[in-house]
Amino acid sequence: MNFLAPGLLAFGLVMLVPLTLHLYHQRKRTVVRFSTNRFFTDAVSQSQRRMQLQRWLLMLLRMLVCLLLAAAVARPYLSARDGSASAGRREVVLLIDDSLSMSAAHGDHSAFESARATAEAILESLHAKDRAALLTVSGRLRRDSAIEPPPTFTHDKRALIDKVRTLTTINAAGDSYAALKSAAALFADTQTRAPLLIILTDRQRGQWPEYRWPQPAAPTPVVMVQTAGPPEDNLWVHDARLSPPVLMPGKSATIEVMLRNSGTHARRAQLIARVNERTIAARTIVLEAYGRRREQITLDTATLDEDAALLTPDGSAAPARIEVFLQAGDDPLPQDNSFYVSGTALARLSVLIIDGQYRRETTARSSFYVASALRSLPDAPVEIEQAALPQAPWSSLADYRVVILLGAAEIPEHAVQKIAAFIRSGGGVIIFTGDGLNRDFYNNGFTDQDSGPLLPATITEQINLLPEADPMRMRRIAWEHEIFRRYEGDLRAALADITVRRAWGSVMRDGWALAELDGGIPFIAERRIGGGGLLMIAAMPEPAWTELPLRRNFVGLIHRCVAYLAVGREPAQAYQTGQDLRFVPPHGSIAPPTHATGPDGEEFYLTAGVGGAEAGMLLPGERVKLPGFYTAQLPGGGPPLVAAVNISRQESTAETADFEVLKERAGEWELNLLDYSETSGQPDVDMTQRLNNILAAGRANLGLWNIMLWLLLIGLAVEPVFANIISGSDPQINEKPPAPETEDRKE
Amino acid sequence: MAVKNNAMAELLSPELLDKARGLSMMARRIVEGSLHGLHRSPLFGFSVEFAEHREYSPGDELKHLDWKVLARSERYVVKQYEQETNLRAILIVDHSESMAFGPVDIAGRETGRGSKYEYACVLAAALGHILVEQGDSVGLLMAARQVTQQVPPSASRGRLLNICTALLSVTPGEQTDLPGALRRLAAQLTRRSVVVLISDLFDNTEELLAVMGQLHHRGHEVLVFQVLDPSEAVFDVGNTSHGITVIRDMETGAEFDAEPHMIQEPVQKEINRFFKQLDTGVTRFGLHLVRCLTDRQVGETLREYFKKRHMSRK
Repeated sequence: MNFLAPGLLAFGLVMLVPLTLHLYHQRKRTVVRFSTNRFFTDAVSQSQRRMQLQRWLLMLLRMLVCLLLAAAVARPYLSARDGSASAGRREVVLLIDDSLSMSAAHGDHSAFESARATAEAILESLHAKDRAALLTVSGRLRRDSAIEPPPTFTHDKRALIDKVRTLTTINAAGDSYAALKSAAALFADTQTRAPLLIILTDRQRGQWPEYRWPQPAAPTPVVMVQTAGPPEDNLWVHDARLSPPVLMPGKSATIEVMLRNSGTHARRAQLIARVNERTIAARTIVLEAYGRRREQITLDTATLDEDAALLTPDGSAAPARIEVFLQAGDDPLPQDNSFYVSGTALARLSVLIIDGQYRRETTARSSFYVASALRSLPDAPVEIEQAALPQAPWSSLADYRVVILLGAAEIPEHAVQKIAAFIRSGGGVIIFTGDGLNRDFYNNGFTDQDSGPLLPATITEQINLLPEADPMRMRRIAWEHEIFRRYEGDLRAALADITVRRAWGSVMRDGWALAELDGGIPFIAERRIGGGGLLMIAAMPEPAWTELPLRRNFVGLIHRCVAYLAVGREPAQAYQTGQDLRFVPPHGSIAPPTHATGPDGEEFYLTAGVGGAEAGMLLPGERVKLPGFYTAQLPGGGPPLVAAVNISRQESTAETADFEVLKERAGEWELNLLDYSETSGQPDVDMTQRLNNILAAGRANLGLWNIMLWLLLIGLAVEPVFANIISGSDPQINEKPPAPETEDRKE
Repeated sequence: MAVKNNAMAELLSPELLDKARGLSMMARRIVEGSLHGLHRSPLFGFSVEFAEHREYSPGDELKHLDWKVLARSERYVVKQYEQETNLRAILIVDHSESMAFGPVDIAGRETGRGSKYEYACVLAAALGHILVEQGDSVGLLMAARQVTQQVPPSASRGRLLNICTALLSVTPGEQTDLPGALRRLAAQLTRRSVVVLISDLFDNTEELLAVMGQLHHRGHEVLVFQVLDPSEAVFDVGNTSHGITVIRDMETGAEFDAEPHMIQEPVQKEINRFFKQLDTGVTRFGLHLVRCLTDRQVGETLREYFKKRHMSRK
């Protein structure tokens, strides 16, 4: 057995106190005279010897309690070094946290540098017969190939040390779950008698989330060495998004930025925004301590057309590469000061309006209201084409970005498949349900061969409120949705106040309701199919159904719905380093892209994507190591496909994982902590010694400490009882016999 | 003579005498006595009160022949009388070393009590005074390993003085051999007597009981006052400090290493066993045992004893 803090064994000298007291009492001899010794029989002597023995036992118990106390304080473990049963049988897995947060500067060094030095020291101290394996939380990001074999145990310490020296942090969050799973698999395969997992980490909360760890086959000791804390006094751009997600020339847009400061004091920094490498905004901001700050940067797309080249020379749209970054001196983790957003730019937006209830009088048409709303913004490059249902150009849907279907009872069967293909290829469809709607058709016939029913909900019945009845209003609006997120204050109240008197009831099935009427009736429901989407609005844009087309909100709402669907795919795809990138070619492309270019100019070959309804080319996550823009050029020309990749912001926080929570989640991993984040950060002599002591244990059975504590508690509980028995405080013993009677004894 | 008077005065305090004055002692058995007193002799002699006639037999003295009966009926009968006799008591006081225990207890503390021997002396003097007051004769025998002092029985007040003087002239300091002393006494006693033994009885219990049984068998009434210090009846070590204590036997000098708190319970068991053995023996041999603790007044002890004795006679 060895101790983590052998110096504290000095407490064991306390055991001399009971020994001294005992011997003192033994030596104390006083002589008294008694009338007779006839009562001090052998039975008395035996009884006394028995009690003296018990007193010795009590004294030994007290000494044992003192020793246990000292041993418990010194934190014991079973040592197996130098000739013990498991010497040379140790199998140590070094799990190094190489996530981005480990690179944060703490003075003149980083947590990762300390971890690397500690790892080398550990490997150096291993016995020649011991085996070790090296794991990192970066997982597959560290490997160059997906088919590279996983790490195994080796006796070659030197090779491992060399490997440790070459390690650097990654620009991503690690996958600690996968790493622990690998460690468990390593121990399970070898069935070792002396396993030990050493984790070198900054114990950042995001890195060690509070889920149950993958379990080893048998209880396995773990020493979590915290080389330093998570980044402190850190500034970072937490989030940035473009709203609306599609940029159209002549139409303004906004970059919404969330900034954070984890430091204990306010910081001043320069916030800079760039679009296609052109600086469009630069402002000085002050971030309060532990503060969050929301900034909005307005993009004047009219200027951007010229300077940022949002449009290609041939007039088609170019991708917008938006970069937001903070400039602040002495930032411990500068990698998270930049945030990348890709925007979709459109040169023009073609909308097809198909009116299912075409009337002669123009103002009586539903399409009139919709078209008027779309035309109400003179600068918006929207091209509108209207058609009655029988003349609808089903074969040329690819010429449009968005199709609006107004009050169609049903549509031809061949048109259904055309609409399904249109949506899958990135188009958007808005359906207004009106009078004479054939429920059976929409519930059963309006179906894609692959995706099933196209509508997000099953239509049930039409609701017509009596004139004297209170109208329905919109409830439960998904304000966080891209369509509604720019509604604030009075605009929100005005939208929620719009009344509806007629509507089609439905029950949600494959999509989700963006807005509901009273009684939970879906009013606006969405379903994404392939690269596109479909919005179902449960009322016609007519005053008889709803006052919506008469309200000012209608213009903005219809514009947002169209712009949202015009993006063609899920907007603001938030890629992170280490994630697979998917490049989906636009509808009508001749061939998919074959390669992509990384932020540093490195070329990557793309592989065909598998799974999902959307065809695309993939860049495997292990290649996505740097944050920035990854660009894939289409073989047939045209604007390139751009994916913005950012570093996980969980790496930016200063929150430390609660050790007790970790211990609970660790389960069969017997988790112990060595924290020298409060020291110099370097493995000082004491900490190294303690770590070496643990390493010297074939099984760093720190659970022994708990056993010691239990024994100590039991000893403390038993000692008073035992002492009472021996000291004669038992009431039966102290009970005096009755006094002899002074009477004549003769019968 | 002055010395003797002082001695008696020291032993018989006015308070004690006052308490003892009301007491009377009635022998439970008829003993022979040379003096007339309150006690009836078990023997038919030739004294004042006529008892009966019996046939003359050769050898009878002619002076007891009833001549009137002979003259009237020519029958030879002799007169027999019932004689009033006095009690003859022998006080045996144990003055072995163990009787000196009392002023200091086993924990070495001053008890404020006298020794057992002092108590025994007062008790003996009181008994002697009572007996002399009612005209009985009383003698004394001081015994330890052997008989050291002996005062022959007499009913005179001067003899009581002799007894007190003898009690004071001896200090406890020898080993006990009460059975030997009692055997010698038994050989000397030719008349039925009351034998009063005052001792702690820390001796060979079986042998002592056997000898006292023999005395009883020969017609003597044996009365035993067992004088004990309270700490000998209830072995209480009190607040004796922890540690080894050497307990030295006052008579033999034998030592016993003990931790008083450890032996308190088993020693008490031994004491109770000793008492039970004595009580059993007393019952078997028809003796009288009075257990006296030195923290009680002698007068109270005697009054209580005589009260019970009166009750049992009725």
